Amino acid sequence: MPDRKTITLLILLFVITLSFRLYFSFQYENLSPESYFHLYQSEKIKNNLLPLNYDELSYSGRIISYPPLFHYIIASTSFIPYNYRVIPALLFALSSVIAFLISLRISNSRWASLLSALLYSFTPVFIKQTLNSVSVYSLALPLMFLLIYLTIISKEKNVSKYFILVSVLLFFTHPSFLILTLTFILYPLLLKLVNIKINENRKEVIIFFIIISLLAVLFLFKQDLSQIGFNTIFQNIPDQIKHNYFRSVNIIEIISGIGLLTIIFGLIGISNGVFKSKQSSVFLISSLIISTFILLLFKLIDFNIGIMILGLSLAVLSSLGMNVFFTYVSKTKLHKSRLLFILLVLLLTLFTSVIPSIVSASNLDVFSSKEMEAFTFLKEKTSKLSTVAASPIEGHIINFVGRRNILDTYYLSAPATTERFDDLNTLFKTELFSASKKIIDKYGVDYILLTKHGKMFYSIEKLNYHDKCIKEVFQNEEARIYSTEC
Amino acid sequence: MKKQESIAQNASLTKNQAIVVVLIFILVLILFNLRPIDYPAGDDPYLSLKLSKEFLKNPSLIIKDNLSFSSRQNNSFNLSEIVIALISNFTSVSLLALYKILSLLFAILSVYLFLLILKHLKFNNRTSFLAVILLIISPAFINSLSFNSLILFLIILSAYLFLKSKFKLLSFILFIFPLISPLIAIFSIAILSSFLLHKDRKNLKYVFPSFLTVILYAIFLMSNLSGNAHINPFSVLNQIISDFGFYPGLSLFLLIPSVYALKHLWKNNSYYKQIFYSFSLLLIFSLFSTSLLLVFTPIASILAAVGILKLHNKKWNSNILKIITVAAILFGICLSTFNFIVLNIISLPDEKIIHGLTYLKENSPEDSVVLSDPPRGYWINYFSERKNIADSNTFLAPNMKERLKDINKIFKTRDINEFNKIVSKYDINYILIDSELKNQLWKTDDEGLLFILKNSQNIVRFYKNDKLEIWKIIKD
Repeated sequence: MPDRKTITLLILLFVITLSFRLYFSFQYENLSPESYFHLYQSEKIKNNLLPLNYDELSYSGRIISYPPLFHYIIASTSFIPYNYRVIPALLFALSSVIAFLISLRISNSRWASLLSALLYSFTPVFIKQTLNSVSVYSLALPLMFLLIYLTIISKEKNVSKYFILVSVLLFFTHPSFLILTLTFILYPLLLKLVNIKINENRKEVIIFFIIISLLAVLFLFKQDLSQIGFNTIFQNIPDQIKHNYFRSVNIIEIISGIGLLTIIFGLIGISNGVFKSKQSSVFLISSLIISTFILLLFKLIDFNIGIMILGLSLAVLSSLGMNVFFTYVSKTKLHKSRLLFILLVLLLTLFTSVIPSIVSASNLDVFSSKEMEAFTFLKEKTSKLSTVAASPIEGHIINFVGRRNILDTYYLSAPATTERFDDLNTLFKTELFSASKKIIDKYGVDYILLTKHGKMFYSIEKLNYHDKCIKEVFQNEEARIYSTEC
Repeated sequence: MKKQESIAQNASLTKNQAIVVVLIFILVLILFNLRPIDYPAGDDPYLSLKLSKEFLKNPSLIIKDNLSFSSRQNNSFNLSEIVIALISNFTSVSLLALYKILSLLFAILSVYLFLLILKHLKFNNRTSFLAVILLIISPAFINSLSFNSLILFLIILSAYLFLKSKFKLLSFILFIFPLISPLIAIFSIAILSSFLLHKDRKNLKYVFPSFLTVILYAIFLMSNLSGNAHINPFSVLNQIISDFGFYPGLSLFLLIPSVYALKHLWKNNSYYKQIFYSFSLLLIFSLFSTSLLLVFTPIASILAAVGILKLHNKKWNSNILKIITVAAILFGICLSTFNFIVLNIISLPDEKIIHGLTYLKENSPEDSVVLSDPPRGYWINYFSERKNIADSNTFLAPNMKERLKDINKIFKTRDINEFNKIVSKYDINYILIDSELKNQLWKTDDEGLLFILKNSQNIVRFYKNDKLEIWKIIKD
């Protein structure tokens, strides 16, 4: 049990993390585009009490299979002002406490664990991906790391009951539980390689998790499995963007996204835990790192999400690296300067993690007010159930304002994503009205929306065809809306 | 009752266990027969039915199939189809009824032999009980109830004779096995040979006659065929695990305890290493032909039963984890069975499709060529007795890649010139589209081929009900 001083510092870290997230989040008027998907789903739950099974707006009508727990949480806390900003920030801040608990188990050092939790909270890619977002990862990540923690302490009394509860919560939150399934498959294999016997309690929770997670996959993605089978693992992403979505591993991006200090101490932690002290809990986190790396290598996971999980895992392991470092220092002539070294590490944390996080937090790519005016126009001046053609990233916002889209970025279970992506590309880039007319008729397009983000996505300035049927009905500096009137 | 007691006695099942096994078998049979029509689901059974039917009309079909791919060398004829055709001819029992009766008979015999194997291997009655239930509810076994339980029977019979060291009889069975299912026979023989090599080298000679049949069969194929072999491992990946596509593959939840069992048995006996190698080899080769899963299923059923009971009997520190885990495995296995049975009930062809196909037979010239998606190819051959452009038997089919490309092109095109070019190339007379195909390929009536069918003056609607449309191409 940590002492009072440590608990105070941990609470302070929690408050700093929460304040940081809330402060920067409120600097932005609008949320990230993906957030509108979750807000839309939560809104539906609030109105009907049940999650959407069929969405008549997305893809102009499609089946939706998404674990609903996060949407229920957002829907049920709607009485809190700005709940969609506060709740995710609170959950993310809470996950730093879980990071601390895991670190403490691994390193047995309060200071190192606190520093490790600090690195965890200020992992630049973590901030960039989740700060101004109603992100499902705000719930999925704490649950994932909590399961790791419960696996580590599985020997203790009653842990299995909590493990069952948290597992079920994770299954109903996000498919990322499959990363943990892979981790739990790799973990015993890694231990076998170095002849470490896995303890029985741990073996039990692992077998339980693997079996139940596979059953969860069959239930949650039954529709996709029956339609596209094994290809469900590629998430039905259009062929044209698979390359961008599942990018190749880039070392520079990894270092800047995770933070140099986290990587250095994380790697020291791995090498010490795996080769020297042979701690089975270090093998567990290492299995998580290897699983994520494998998924990244085979391009089965979104690049940024993969890097985020890698970074957070290294941050947790860095506590062991720091402990090794401080222990080494205490054995040298510099042992009297231990505090100085802690300050030095804090300073380095500031430069390699906190400042890059602040830079990331200040420069998030969100939709401007001018762009959002176009969506307000769609909501207020167009008829309900109009179909709006726009870039995929704008799809969720179109649904959120109650209009139909042709394509959005939730591809699983969606119809003909590659074909639709191609058609939208033609609609925005063609110079021939006849070509665009075909697509307008095919999807029954009523409006074409071109925002600054859409222009960047399609590398155009405006539509390149003119016809009396295409009429501009809205225009400001950053967005235009055309109506199709023939 | 007498039969049940006999099963109980032979397979070391208790009387109650035997009753449960019989009841589950009957239940599976009832559920499997909930299909609203007598005709089986899918397309594979129609290849056998077609070949038996055509054999009676024209025995030269053994060499050349005039209906498949508009005419091709036959590579799929087997002894059982000839025998069934002849029995049907002599007894006047319909081919469909005969296939069903024989499949049921061989399925029952397979279960009985499977119990004898379990008894021989000295499994306790709980393991035997669970293993036989797992076999009966496996999608591959249920699917075999429709047409290919003879193959399953031969697999289990070969294993039984091998275990009983009845090598002369085994030698005879292995001699005729390749004439019924060459690919499965090759693998069964390979596995048995590996066991003999490992355990009993002097009896290896009994496997030689089967090699002779395999070689003769291969020479027959090579001398008759001109096409290219085409294997697409990824297209069949979904079919290995039934949960990924609800095909008659293996349940994921049967595989997991099987692997768990092997891990434990590995330590105890090198005999199981042999099973492990066979298991892995079969799984790898199942990527190329899902029919091999039929060999895999009896082995997996035994191993899964061992694995599940090992998990159950193991001392768990948390009882709740144990209960949920074991229950989840059993539930997962039942879920695969349920999904497969539902799929079997709703799968095409249905009454309306058969009506349309029969209408085509009665109202079109005998040498007509019908275009549809390849999985409908056998139906066109069997029900309409007309030529198809392509069907599911793509192994060594003539210009197979080109044909599939052209079919795909004609489904997607709105260009009448491109359409006419492909129609002339294959001399297509009719186009057959069912509701499932329509939903798969097109979203609106103006897309691809549907646009051409609607607007071309040289194409008329020949037949229509709410499940099937047949279009006739009027040629100058």
